[in-house]
Amino acid sequence: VQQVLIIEDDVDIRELVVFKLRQVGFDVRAECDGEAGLAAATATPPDLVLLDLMMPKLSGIDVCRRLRSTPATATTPIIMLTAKAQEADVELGFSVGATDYLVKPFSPRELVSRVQSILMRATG
Amino acid sequence: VITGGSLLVGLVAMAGVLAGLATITAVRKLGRGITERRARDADARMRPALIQLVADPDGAPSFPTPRGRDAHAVERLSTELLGKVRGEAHATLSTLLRERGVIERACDRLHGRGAVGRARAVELLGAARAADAVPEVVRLLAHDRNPAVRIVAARALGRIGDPVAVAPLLASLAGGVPAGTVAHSILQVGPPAEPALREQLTGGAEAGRAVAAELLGLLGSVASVADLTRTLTEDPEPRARALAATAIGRIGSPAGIGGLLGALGPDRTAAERAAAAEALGRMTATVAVDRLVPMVDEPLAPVARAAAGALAELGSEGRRELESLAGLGGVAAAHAGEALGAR
Repeated sequence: VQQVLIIEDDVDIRELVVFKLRQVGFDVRAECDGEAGLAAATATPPDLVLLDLMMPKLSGIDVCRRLRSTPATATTPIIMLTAKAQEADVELGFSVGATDYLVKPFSPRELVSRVQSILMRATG
Repeated sequence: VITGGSLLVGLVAMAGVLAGLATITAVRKLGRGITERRARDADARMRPALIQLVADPDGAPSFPTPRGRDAHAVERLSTELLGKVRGEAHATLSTLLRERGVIERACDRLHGRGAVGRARAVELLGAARAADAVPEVVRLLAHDRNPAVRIVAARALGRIGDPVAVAPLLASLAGGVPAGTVAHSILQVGPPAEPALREQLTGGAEAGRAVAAELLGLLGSVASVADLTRTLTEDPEPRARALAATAIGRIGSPAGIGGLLGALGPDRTAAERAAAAEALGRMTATVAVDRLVPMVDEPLAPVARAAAGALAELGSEGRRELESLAGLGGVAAAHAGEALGAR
């Protein structure tokens, strides 16, 4: 079973993503801020990280940068979750190592497809 | 004469009043805290069923019919969730709210006395993209006595996305709705807004014509180039003419070049001439080189700077002209050097 970590401070989005990904068979963990998310990802590296851009304590950009500089998570696929108004930050996200991004508001079905296709690519 | 006794009575009375006020404040704070905690508890009770419904509309068990605080929680959570999801999840939530009569009640609340209630109701209608509520939301946009409610109505109309709202949105500029809000809402309507925007170019008020011109450019409306050129040449307001020039440049259709060249003339305002020069540069209209070169030497800095910037966009021909201007000295040389440096 592949493991996905969602780091997102919005409780509605977090619970929606957890429910949807568990429903299709992923093992999902969730954290509600950047610091806790970073700790969880480095302690037990997941197969994929879903990362909100704007979060308390540590931003998504900082979390992404640190995950990339940690050997255990250096190649872990990271999908950035970004609000429409933050689309300009997407380039910044890619520059610090994000694999892909998804714009909020999002479709839960699209999210599942995106996660599945990226994991398929990552595992060859 | 103030005696010691009356002073003491006064002090005691004042202390009593202060103690009373402190008690009232503490009781109110406690009450508010209890209300908020109960609302949070209700949210926590209702969220799982709602999430399940949104995540899996086909597989979720039938949604319970909540009452009291739980019903309010469903309404509150649904409104928030509507802004976070799209596609099937959004449609499912909207249907749920309609089935539960929440949309209908929100329409009724648009007539309520409290501004906060009206604003919340119109926000919900926008989030649910309730197209049937457009006439009511338009009425609120035009006539609500509270400016904040009018702004929320403008945003809601953008989310609903019905082109019928374009003309009322532009008209709301006169009522104090910020141009940025109006523009954002109309851009959310997208290309279906173009016919209504074109109508505004000829029939709207001054502020409406200017915003309409700008938005047609942002929408990249190739079909509007002829109307924008008419605005550029015939509109009585310089601001509308300048924004029409910018819009033509953004659209990039060669059909607009003739009008832009005409707008470079000395009979036009500095803003128009600068906008036309920038637009020609953006369109890489090399035919404009000869017209732009003398403008770099003009005393009006915005015009000279825009002309130099445009020449820098016009390939080797434009840059050659800038290099020769840069070697001549004076203000034109400074503008030319700046434009070459910025490339």
